[in-house]
Parts: sequence; structure tokens; C-alpha cells
Amino acid sequence: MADEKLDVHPTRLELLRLKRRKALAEGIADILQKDLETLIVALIEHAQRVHSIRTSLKESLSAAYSLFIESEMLSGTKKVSEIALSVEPLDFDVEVNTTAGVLGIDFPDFQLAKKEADTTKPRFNLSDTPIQLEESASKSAESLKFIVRLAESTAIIREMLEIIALKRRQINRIRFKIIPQIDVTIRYVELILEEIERQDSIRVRVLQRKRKERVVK
Amino acid sequence: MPRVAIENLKLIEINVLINLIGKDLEAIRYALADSPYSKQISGVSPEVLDYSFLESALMQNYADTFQKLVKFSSGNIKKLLVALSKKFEIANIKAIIRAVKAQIDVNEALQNIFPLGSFDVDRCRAILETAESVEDVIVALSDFEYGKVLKHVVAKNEGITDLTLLEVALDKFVYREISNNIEKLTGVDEKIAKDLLEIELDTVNVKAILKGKALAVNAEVLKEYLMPTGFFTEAILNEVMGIDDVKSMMEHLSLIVESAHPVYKKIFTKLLKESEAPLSRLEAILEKAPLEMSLHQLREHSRYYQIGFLLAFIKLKWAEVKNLRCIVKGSERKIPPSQVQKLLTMPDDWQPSQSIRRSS
Repeated sequence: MADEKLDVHPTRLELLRLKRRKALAEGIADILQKDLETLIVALIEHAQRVHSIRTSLKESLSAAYSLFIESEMLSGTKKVSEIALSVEPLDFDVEVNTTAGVLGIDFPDFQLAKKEADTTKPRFNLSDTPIQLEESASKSAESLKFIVRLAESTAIIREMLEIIALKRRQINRIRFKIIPQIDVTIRYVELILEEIERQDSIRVRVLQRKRKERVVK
Repeated sequence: MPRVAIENLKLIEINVLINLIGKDLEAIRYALADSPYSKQISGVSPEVLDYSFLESALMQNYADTFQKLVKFSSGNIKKLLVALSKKFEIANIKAIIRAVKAQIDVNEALQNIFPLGSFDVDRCRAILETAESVEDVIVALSDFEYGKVLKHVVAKNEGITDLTLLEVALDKFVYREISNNIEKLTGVDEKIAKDLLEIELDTVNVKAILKGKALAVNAEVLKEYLMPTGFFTEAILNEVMGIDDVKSMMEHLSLIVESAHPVYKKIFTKLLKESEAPLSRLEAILEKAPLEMSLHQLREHSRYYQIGFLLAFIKLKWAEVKNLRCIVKGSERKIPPSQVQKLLTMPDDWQPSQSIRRSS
């Protein structure tokens, strides 16, 4: 699709303005490109962090799960489910804040707000529950920390992807819309100015010829 | 108890049990159909075969065997067996309390009822259908000795703050009942029964202390969770609670058990050797102690029939049922055979690695 020229007066002043606008647009595109590269580097770092958190979460949940299965094997599924349903649930919440991240962008900051465990008394009956159930419960509680960190990193990545898409759109708009439009307009203004120049020079030559003819007469 | 009745009571060979590890549920059902579990297993249809049906069949078999032992016994031995069956009664009361606390559906809660003792499904259903809170359960139990025990805990703690305290009170009550019935026995019977109960109480208490220490439970609170004492007196247990690391704790107990029954020495030497191991391993060693004592009593007093036969059989049968349940669950969850084998409660003189190699 041919780029539409801008609606400007074909004057030298306008040509200078257009050239200045083009240089400015190229500068902005370069800055945006650098921002984009910085964001992509940060995105890769976060993606790697997500991978390591996901690995830790998987390890922690697998350990909790196998300990839970062991407790079921030792005490029976019915008893374990009965104990699990009647025990006091863990009291926790997730606090959502924002923190300045890369390029000063506000990123989500999730904090696990866990009520301090009452260490004075055990959660399960000490003489009637296998240690595996207690260990499984504490591994599951430990997994919450990874789940919150994973949710935070996922939210950050989502935010970054949105910003990257926005920056890419801005760069594309400058490079493939604004700059070509300015280029077309510059060419148009230059053509008009050249045309005016040619007409002027013909006019000058005609005038000079007429003046010479008058002198000869 | 008639000699013929005792001789009819059979356990599965350990190698047969080990060969079941890693087999699918159908193969396990088929193998158990040709064992002392045949009657209960025949009630499990292959079409609906799953872990819960097999677990129920195993528990039913244990309950039937126990009832048979009670039926053929008389006098103080019968009273002792009835006291032992109270362990399952309190398990049912605990199940009712937990179900009411968790607001579980009555029919679902009844699946957790163990078919032994006077708290059968009908009695438990009646309580579950009327009780809306734990307090209601205690009121419904007021005609029984358990109701009084629970009321006492509620009065002492000014309300129901923690279900575990109610459970511990019931456990203590049953152990006291068993102990009282043992005192009614005489001669070798009393000594054997006492040895078996003491090692059970000691292992339960040591396990509770180890767990309490690992969870950093306050020492004063931890005392509440200890059962009546056995060979390890209250003073010894208090000393042990004051020791910080497991190794020092085991060193201390190993010195104390020098004068105890040889089984104690064997168990605590092993615990000291493996004191750096995870708590689950130490628990597994302690879990074996009553089993080792039962086998020791059987070998020691094999020349004549005594209470040891019955108590050892009950202990071994329960260990067998638990091992089978563990194998079935492992099969259902596709757990590697080596891991299943680690969780089985087996006597020490049996070489597991050889058999598992054969079976795999």
C-alpha cells in the first residue's frame, strides 16, 4: 500500500521541518528498540527464573505427594482423609503490591502472608499419625511459597509481554508508517521545490533573452 | 481357649506376602482368594475391584479373626481381648468426632468405621445422624466410659480447643484399661502380656517425643501427648525430652535399656546406629519393636500354650493386614516395589533384598 503524504505546504521551511521530524522519529525508534531489547533480556531472565521456580515447586510437590502416599500406605486412605478433613487448615493470604522493575515499569509484587504457626501444639496427634503425614503437610506449606513466587513471575511476564507488544507496535508504526510518510512528503516537497526552481530558471532565461533582444533593437 | 481354635489361625508366609509387591490389584485379589482372607475377598467382585474394597476386606478379616479369638476365650484372657478391642472402638469414636468436625456426609463417614467392638455401624450412624457438633457427640457418648473421659478433657481445657487432646485422652484411657486387665492375669501370662504392652507404650512414647522434638513442640505440651509409661518411666521420658539431638537421646536410652529385655537392647542399638537417618526410618524401627517382642515371646515360650500366643498372633496379624494394605495401595499408585518394601513392617531376621529380587 502506497504511503499517503502528509498535508503540508511545499516550502523549504516545511522541508527542513520534515527532515527534523524524520530524524526525531528515527531517534525515538532507536530508543524504543533499545527499550525493547532491554525488556526482552529481562523477559528471558524472568522466563529462566520461572523455570527454576517451577522445578523447585515440582520437586516440593512431588516430595509432598510421595510422603502423602506413604502415609496412606502406612495408615490407610480412609484414616488419612479423615484426619486431613478434620485438621485445622493453614491460614494464609496473598498480599498484592507493585514494585519498580526494569525501565521503571511497575511490576506486581506478591507476598505470602502466612499466619505464624502455633509451635506450642502439634497439628496432628503425635501418637496416632505417621511422621510422613506431618512432613507431607509441611512440604505442601513450603510449596505455597513457590506457588506465590511462580504466580508473581507469571504476572510480571504477562505485564512485560504486554509492554513488549506495545513497544513493538510503536516501533513498527514509526518505522513503517510515520517515517515512510515523512519520506514520501519530503520527496513530494523536494519535487515541488525542484519544479518551482526549474520554472524559475526558465523564467529567468526567458527574461534574460527578452532583455538581450531589447538591447539589440 | 481350645488348642484347635488357635491352630486354625493362620498367617500368610512372608515370602508369599513379598511376592505380592508390584502385582496388580486383580493378581493380589486372586492370591488372597487362596489364603486366610478368602472368605472376605470372595465378597469383592472383580468388576468393582479397587483399593477401598480390598482395604475393607482386609479390615473385615482382622475384625472377624479378633472376634473369633474373643469368642473362644474365657475369663481374664477374654477380658484382656475385649480391652484390646477397645483400641478399635476408640478409633471409631475418633472417626465420628473427626467426621462431625469436618461436616462429612454420614454415609461417607460410616466408611471409616472399623467393624470391631461395640461401636458398630448402626450405633455410629445413630450418633452421626443426631450430632451436629463435637459437643453433641460427647453428649451422645455420656452413657459410655468414653463420654466421661471426653467430658473430663473438655472441662479441663474449658471447651474443645483441639481434637488431638480428645484423641490422646481416649488412647490413654484404653491403654490404662489394657494395663488393668493385664494385672488380673497371673504367672507367665502376666509377664508376657506386660512385656508386650510395655514395649508398645515405650515405642509410642519415644515416637511422640521424636516427632515433638522435630516439630519443636513445647516440652510441657509434649507431655500431654505421652501415653501411660512402660519400661521407660516418666522421669526417664522427661530426661529424654530435655536432650536436644536424636543421637544423644538414643545414647541415653541405649544405656538405660542395658538392664531391660533383650529386644529393647536390639531395637535401641539399631536406633543409635541409624540416629542420623530421617525420622520416618526411626519410626519404622520403633514400629517393629512390638513385633520383635511378639516373635521373641513365641520362641521363648513355645513349649506350652499361653497368652503370648494370642497376643503375638494379634500383633502379627495386624502387622500382616497393615503390610497387605500397604502393598495394595502401592499397587494402586504404581509405587516402585523397593519403596513399598521399605514401608513394610517385617521382622529383622528376614532378608528382604533376596526375596524382592526373586519376585521382581
